[in-house]
Amino acid sequence: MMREGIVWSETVVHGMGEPYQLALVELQGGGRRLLVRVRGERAEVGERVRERESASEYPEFEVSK
Amino acid sequence: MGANGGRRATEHGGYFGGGNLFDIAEDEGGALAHAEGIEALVEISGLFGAEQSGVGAAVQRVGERFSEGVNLGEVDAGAAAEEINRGIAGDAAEPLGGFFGVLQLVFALEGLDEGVLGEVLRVGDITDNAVDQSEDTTKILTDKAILKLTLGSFGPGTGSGSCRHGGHYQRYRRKGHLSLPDAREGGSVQRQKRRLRLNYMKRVHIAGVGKTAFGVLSGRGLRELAGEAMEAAIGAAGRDRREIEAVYVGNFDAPSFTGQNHLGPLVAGAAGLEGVPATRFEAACASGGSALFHAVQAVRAGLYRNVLVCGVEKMTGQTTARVAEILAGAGDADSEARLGATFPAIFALIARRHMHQYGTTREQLAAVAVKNHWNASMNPQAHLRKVISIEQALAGKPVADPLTLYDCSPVSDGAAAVWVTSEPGEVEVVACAQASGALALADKREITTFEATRRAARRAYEEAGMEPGEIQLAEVHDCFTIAELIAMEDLGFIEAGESGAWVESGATGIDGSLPVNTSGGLKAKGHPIGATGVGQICDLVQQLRGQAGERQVARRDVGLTQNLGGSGATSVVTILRRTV
Repeated sequence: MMREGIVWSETVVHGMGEPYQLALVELQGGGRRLLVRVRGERAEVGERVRERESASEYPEFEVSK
Repeated sequence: MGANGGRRATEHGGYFGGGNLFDIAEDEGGALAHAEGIEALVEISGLFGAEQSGVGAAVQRVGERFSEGVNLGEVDAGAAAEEINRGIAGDAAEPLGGFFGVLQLVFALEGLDEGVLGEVLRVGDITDNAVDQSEDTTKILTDKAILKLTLGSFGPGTGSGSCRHGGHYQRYRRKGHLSLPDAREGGSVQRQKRRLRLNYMKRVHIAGVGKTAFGVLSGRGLRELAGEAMEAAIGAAGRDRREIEAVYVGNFDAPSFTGQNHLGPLVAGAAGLEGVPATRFEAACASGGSALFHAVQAVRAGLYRNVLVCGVEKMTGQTTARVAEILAGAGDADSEARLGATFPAIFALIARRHMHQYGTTREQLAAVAVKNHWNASMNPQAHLRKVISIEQALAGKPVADPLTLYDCSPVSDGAAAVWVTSEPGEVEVVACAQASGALALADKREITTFEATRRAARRAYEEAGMEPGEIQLAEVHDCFTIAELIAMEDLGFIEAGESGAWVESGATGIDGSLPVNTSGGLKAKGHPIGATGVGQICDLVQQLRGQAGERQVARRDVGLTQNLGGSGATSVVTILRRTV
């Protein structure tokens, strides 16, 4: 089941190859937080995001449309 | 009321009710009259005798009077108190502690009703006075006596904590005290017991400090750096190194940075201290602070009289990516490091949340960097001595939004050493507390505050019997600019969310109401990780001794250091006081 949540904080990391976005997401239905990679459009604090299919070993989210 | 009695109570802020010796004597004559342990008192006064000039003299006088057949029940308690106060005029309050320590012992040894003892203790700050007891008193206090003291029913502290920060400080809501609900500590009973335990431990002073310059120290290895810092500390102490009984080493990750493990004997050997127990302490960026904390505990407990603490790190010579990878080991390997959450990224997440939650601005973060670079420009041992402007800081190379290069401390080499001792000295360690919090950012209840710092700070203030408003200068852990802002809040210097405006106002400059990081901080002085916490002590001692040159602050009686590990998972808070 794909998780959803609200961005609690975020940053774009530079200088480690291609810039990438990390977000601390407050997951829907429990208040638990999760650190994730955000793909695609940059997510802002307070924005809704959802988990996306990924082959990577860490959770990847994207902005909910 | 005599001057000495009043002074004593004021200094301690009324921790146990704010009474003074005269009040106790006058109000509790009845309780004193219950005491029947005259022979014990005489015996104890003989133990003090010639060995302790201050305590011995006063207690011996009391003892002599009692040996002449005076019964405590017949003593004019007020007159006795006055006599003792006269005896200590011009000296520290040691004899008060000795006197009441003896009284406590009398009660304990004679098996008197602990209710009587508790009543006497409850009235005034006798246990505070007991802090000043001589080592001999500590030695002869039996477990039974301590148990009885613990059983005493003490009233809660009523510290007044008057605000001593004027100027800029007054413009913001002051935090008079630090409050942190903490069920795990069991509330006030636990805190009182902790204070009681401390009362019967040895006092700890700093005999000497020394450090290398911080920076890119090419061609110099761990052994050489540690050796230089320790030789400087030993030289500053002016004592024989053979007095050192143990070496505690603060180091984060020499194995990864240099391939060297087993640092204890390596560092001890660098100072010609082979043979003593030598141990490495690791707590990420708080490794140095943690080594100091454990050394202070060992000396307090009487395990050792003299411990040499050395923090050392050799970080340069690696690629930026490799350094970032090593540092990421201070976070949660599963949930952070494997995602590419470098430490700049973690503190960027913290900064972004602080900005969102409180309206903290980029300019306020930059103000921290500008101040610390300015301070470092006057510190010959600093890594980055370049003065920068707000505009330069804001235009720095992006590292992790919203942090730029100027928000980050540099990768440095360096070492620092502190000789802690039970012998009296010019600077006393009045508090040293370590606490922990959640390791992973996602597991913290809040990311705009570090519970480990708040917890360690509260314990440190309790140990010292002080309030945040009494701190006159501080060296705090500004690994990133946001960390200094949060430290201001967590240490109780300013309300949550107001640190940015406070720093921007100039309040934390060298001439401000609370100078912070006059050394240049980690941000500009440098951050050789294992050395950082020990180096902060060196910098603070330099200020307290009035040896900081252009950076010297005006008020230099009491200072604080805060050393943070990881994203706030470990924190060590130390309070130092100048004794002369």
